[in-house]
Amino acid sequence: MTASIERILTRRALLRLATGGLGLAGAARLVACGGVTTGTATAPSAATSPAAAAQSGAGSAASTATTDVAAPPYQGIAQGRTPDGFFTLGDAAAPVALIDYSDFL
Amino acid sequence: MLTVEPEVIERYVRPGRVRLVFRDVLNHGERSERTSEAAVGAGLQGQFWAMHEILFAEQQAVWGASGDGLVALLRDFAARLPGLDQAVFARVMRERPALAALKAADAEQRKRGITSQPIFEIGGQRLAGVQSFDAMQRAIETALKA
Repeated sequence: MTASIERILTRRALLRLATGGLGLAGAARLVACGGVTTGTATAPSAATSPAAAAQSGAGSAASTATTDVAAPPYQGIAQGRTPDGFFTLGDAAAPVALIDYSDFL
Repeated sequence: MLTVEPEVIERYVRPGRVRLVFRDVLNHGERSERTSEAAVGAGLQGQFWAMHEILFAEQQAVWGASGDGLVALLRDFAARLPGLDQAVFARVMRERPALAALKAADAEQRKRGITSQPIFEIGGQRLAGVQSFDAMQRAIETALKA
């Protein structure tokens, strides 16, 4: 899905969210609406990003990029998302991307 | 990653030399799925990395929970995050809108050999398993010079 289609879908989604939320069927068509590419091959593959789907499914109109950080190690560092919706920490223009494939266990 | 993460962040991420990307690997069934969903539920509200830290700190508790108890535990974690809209978080956990995409990404990663965790990709290098800061630093410095 191209970036332009992503933007259109995102705009539509946000409009619908603002007027009462978006069903999960609509959410499934959405892609990430925030973040900037990392500059390293992250091989976008998921048809729908986890965060974008959840964002619309949750009825949240929250912005994707933010600097609102609660935990001290990340305080004051920019947060964002990759085009496929994974969360990032640090300058989008950083010369190197460190991809951490992990779970929380 | 968490043990060396603070140093990587201070030495490389904060100065703008490295951008850290977290990609979920679903190797532990329900617990992997649910914790990743919790991270998304917090991340949608700008608190992914705060939840990331809580989840790593509370691994034992997560291993001890399942089903509705696991969801309740994750909602307790969310309640620790100041300003987090708990209703939005609860809806992410209840309706599971992120799950299909998380599974699809995991399946794609497996085709690229991401079948264990942690695995790190730094520039063109791939490091498998827990790494020392020195190992991470070598890989980062190599990537920065490339």
